[in-house]
Amino acid sequence: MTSARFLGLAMAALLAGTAVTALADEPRRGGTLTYTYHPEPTALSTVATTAVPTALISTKIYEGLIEYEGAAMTPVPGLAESWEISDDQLTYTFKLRPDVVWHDGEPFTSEDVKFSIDVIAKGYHSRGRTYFGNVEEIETPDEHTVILHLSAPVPYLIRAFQAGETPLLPRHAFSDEEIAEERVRQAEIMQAPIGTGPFKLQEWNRGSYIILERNEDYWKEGKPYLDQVILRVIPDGAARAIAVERGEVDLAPMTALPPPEMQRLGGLPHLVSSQEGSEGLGPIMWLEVNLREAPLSDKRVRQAISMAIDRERLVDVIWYGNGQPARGPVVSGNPNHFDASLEPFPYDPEAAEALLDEAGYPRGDNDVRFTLTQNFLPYGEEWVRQAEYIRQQLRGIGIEVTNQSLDMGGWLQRIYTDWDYDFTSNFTHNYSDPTIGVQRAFISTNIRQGASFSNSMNYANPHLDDLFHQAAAMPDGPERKAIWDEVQQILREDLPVIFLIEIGYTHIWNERVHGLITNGISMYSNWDSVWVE
Amino acid sequence: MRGLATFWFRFRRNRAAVVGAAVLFVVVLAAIFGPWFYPVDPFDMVGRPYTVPLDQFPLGTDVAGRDILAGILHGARISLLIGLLASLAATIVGVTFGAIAGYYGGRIDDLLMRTTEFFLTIPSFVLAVVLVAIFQPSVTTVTVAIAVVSWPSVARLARGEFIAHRDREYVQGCRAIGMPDWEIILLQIMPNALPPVIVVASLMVATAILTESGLSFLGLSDPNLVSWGYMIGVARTALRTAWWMAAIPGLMIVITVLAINLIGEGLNDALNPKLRK
Repeated sequence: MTSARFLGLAMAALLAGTAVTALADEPRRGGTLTYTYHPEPTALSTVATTAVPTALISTKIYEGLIEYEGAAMTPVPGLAESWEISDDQLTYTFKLRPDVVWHDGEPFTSEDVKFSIDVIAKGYHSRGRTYFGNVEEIETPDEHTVILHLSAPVPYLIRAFQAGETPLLPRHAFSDEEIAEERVRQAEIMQAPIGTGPFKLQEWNRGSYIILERNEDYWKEGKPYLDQVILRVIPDGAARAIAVERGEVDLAPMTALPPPEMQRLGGLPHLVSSQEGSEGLGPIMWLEVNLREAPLSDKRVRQAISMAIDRERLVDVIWYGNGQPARGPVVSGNPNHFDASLEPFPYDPEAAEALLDEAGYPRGDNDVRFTLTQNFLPYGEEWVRQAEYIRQQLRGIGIEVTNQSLDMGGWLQRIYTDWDYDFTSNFTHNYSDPTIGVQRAFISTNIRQGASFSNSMNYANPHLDDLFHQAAAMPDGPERKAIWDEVQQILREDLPVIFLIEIGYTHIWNERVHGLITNGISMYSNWDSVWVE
Repeated sequence: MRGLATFWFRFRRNRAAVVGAAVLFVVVLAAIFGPWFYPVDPFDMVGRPYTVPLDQFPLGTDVAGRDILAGILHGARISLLIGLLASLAATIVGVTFGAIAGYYGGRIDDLLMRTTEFFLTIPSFVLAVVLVAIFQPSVTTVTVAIAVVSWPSVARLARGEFIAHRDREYVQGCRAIGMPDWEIILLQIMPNALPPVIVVASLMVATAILTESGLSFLGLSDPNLVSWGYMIGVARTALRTAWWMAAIPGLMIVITVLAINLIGEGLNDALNPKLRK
């Protein structure tokens, strides 16, 4: 264990390049890590929403059943000190650590695990049904044993127990009424979390900061190293960059700064800029399209919009080269599932115009074919610039676009609860397997009101649903790969969303911080072995 | 005719005001004809981002490769338009309130002035931010919001003028011959009460342009239109690497607002000669 962690640390140091001194230094206990990300989280649990700001902070408070190491995300013991998978892959037996308590002092038991999977993950998490749809029964023979009985094998299930994916929540924090009336997302614990993680909430001053303090009763001996983790809310991108530059903030994770500033800061001697540690995420950005009404319900219109956007230019100018044009729903960096035969999307405004004419939307008054409203993610200035670029491009082919800006809460409400929008920029994570990261956005059973990053488009394709079901129950291999290839081709043709860019995440931190990069979801890890000089 | 000649004579004596008028004239010309002579869409990505002025494009490009000169010319339209319309609306509402309150006095005066004071007690920029944020930013809401925070000062001024005039002999003479109130207010007192109002209104245009810039800097502008404040807001992210992106529209705001203030001074000299003594 210890040697493995040390290896991870050494690897991180090597990757970081300038932090080689970390090899010689012993981790130091104490100190504070301050990070910044915009916007502020709307809740402190990924059950409420899996949006990045929430996932970043809640994964320090809540834990999953097991932990993962390295870019390949090898499962290692965590809250479950051991587990067994039966040969037919239908029974998972987890042995829980006996010495774990919640932040409020109550003991952590198998009942909590059962509740977290059965009620919380299945009912509320945007990927819960993907993971646990085949779980027929959860048995808890004693306080520290959990047995999952599956109706069919789920090959990727062992990857599901990450803190952001299947967070463990205390059963005793929910009243029976809240569960019966499905008011879990409104429960108090969403704002005042009680987890088992290395850090617990000390103070949340809305619009300003969140302070997490060390959990003195944490089950890992001597961990965490840090006394505090602080999120500072700084809405202005340039101000975030200056805070990092001056050392007021130690870390800007996951492209939290405007690209021009990242370029500048990356060259400074006291800062480390790295793209490592996100291998398990595979972020992909697209325009999410509401398919409920004409003209966007027409496939040809969506194809025309796709052809009006120059993705190369978008990456170069708006994102300063941080990423590459998407070629479909699966990121090209996924070696096992990406269909390498896919060509880049064509950029051809003239063909787009011809397609719109054919679809029955000729240019009318003022050369306008029809008008659409565009929303965009409120994650910073680049998203506004991108929305402005897309509006210009669509104007060029006769589609008048009005941009409408919303805050995070308003955006989630409008896209996933009200379903009242035309199209919006959005990005999601592929994760390591398309069943986890891709299926949830396109399978028709995930047209669920209120579930963030689900199928908000109302896209229903029975054949595709069928392919998803087949792939979900199959181990990786040529047969499964063929199914994924077909899925990618169908989605490219149908365009229920307009695929834009595979974003590259860049993290920037002060060189006094060590041990950040531990696995393929480093920023969503619990940071219990992070330390500062 | 003679009145105009006197006005011009007095106005001309203030050299600074003449310079201001000339500068504003150029800005207005640029706003009206600029986009026509320089037909580049300010939102079009025309080149590489961050090109310096006088290289490929006269004033360079912004963070998204958009022509800054085009932005300045189109932005002039929006900034001036909102400045003028908001001031006009504020003046009309303010004068109406002030005239009625000042002319009738008593309960009506109390009612109208308490309303005015209500607005005066709230910091005007904060109120404008709140209004625009609630009603979604667009040209209309921004104009209305600026007008709403600007009219009370005009109302107070107009009321003072009307109180000063309402008991003068010429007004009493009008009442004696049975002239209706609206005619006295509009045709008799108004021409005499208007000069100081015009001065205040001209200065208000400058404030309105500044308010609009402040709002769009904060991202509270019509997302579909360019204005100078918006350009500064965009350039903010690149302040450390490309200062001129923010400096150019900033300079335009300074020049225009200064010009309008100088004109206001000149108007004051020309219309209120007694005040100078």
